[in-house]
Amino acid sequence: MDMQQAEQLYRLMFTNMREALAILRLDVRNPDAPPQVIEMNPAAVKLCRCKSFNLQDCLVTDCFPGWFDPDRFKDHCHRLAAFGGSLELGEVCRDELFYRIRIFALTDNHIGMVISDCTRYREEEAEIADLSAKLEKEAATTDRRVAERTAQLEEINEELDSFAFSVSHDLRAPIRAMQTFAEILLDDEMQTAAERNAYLVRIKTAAQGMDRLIQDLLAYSRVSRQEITLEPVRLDQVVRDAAQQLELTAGGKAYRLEIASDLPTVIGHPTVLVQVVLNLMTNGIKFVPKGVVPLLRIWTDEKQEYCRLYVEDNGIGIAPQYQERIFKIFERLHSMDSYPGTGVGLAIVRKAVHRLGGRIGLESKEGEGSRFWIELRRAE
Amino acid sequence: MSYVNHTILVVDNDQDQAHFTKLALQRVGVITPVQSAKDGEEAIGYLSGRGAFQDRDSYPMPVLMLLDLKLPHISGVGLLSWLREQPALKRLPVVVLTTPVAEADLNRAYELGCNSFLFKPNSFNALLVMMQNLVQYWLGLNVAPELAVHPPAHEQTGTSV
Repeated sequence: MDMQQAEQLYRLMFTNMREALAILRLDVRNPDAPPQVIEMNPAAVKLCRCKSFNLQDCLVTDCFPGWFDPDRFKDHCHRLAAFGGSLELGEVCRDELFYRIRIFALTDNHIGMVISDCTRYREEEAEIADLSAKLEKEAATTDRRVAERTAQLEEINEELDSFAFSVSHDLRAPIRAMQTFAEILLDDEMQTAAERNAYLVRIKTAAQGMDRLIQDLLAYSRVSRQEITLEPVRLDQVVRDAAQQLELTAGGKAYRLEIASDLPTVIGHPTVLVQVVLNLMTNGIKFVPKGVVPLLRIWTDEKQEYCRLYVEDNGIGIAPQYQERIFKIFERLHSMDSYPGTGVGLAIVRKAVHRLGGRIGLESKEGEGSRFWIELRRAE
Repeated sequence: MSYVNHTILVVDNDQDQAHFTKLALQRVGVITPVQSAKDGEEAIGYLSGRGAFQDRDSYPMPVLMLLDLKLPHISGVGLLSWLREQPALKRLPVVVLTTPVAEADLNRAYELGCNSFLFKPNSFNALLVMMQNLVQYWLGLNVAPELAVHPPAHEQTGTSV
């Protein structure tokens, strides 16, 4: 390639560059003189504000007024010319576009200047920053979700632990009783016939208690695991069915039942709801002082899209500090001889109501009866 | 060896278990009738001499309490904590005799000042052996504290230094 062609190519290259290029000349003998622009490519001419660019005595501060601090720019140029190297002058904003300026030494009195439009980079950078922020946020959300899920699982694990513990305790108690009574009966000849008989009766009682507990546990497990499809259920029918079953299970015990008419239709599951209402009723007629005829009142109360079913009794009531405890499985507030039971009934009720997507609660004062309520979504 | 004037109060909600404990204590020589309370309320009534329990000839102050932690209403731990706050009763030796409980309850019982902690054995023979040891130690070897039946006035009202 001969010199001439090379020269031509260099010039074409210089002219066609999209970056603005300028060649500055320094008067090295006069360090106070500002650099002059001696050559610019068309991209640089576009940016140039100097109306009279004549390639000879145009000052860089006239061509690019306000782009940089004149004194510091001049000092930079002199230092680069003396020592070589290049320098980034940072970003400048002009007409909503961003430019990066770089100067470098060409000869000991010439400086090259490159002005490149970095608006797109900036936009891309902003986009990247935006995306990173989004990613971080998502990661944080995921972290939070994982933490929440872990906490939930830990809670379930603890629940299972205490469940297993309680089951083994309450199931073993009757077994131990049976075993010990049998042991005493077998080892001992000192017993009278009446004592022997009493022991055998207690063995039978323990076995019956254990059977009841297992049945209740099975009911609890059914309510926890059974597939439940929610559907509109008529509370009228539910309460009627529960009342019928109550009559069968009450074993001739006297009680009075007042049911409000026109109970609404709710979203639930028929058999599960009957079980819930039956358990609440059984509870209501059980915990009454001796000699008092149990009176149950059942009615509903509708609020927006929810319906509350109340089961009120005239029983012994529950002190505030025990009102949360009674829903826990195997939790019993009374000794066996005053109010026998397995401590599973209300746990079944709470589990069932949760599975139906509802809520349960009670209002009660010691000695003044209790009012249990379950809240379910109304059917449209 | 037989032990007279050694009233033991058994606090257990499980009537069968209470019966076994009483029977075992009788078999190992506790002649004084073993007293029992079926829950925390009754135990508090007994210890504070309320109602029928005012009659200290029929319901003497115990020298030892056997406590099951699994009680309805007021828990065993609750009863223990109540006991240790009573000026007249707080020194009463308490042996926890319970069905297996969570470790936290075990530690809590010691923190609240139970004097010994036993798990109920599964068989009656094992219970007999346990009660034999318990009686030999707590009624035989152990020197009982004095229980302030009528607490001094300053203790009743509480003192501040």
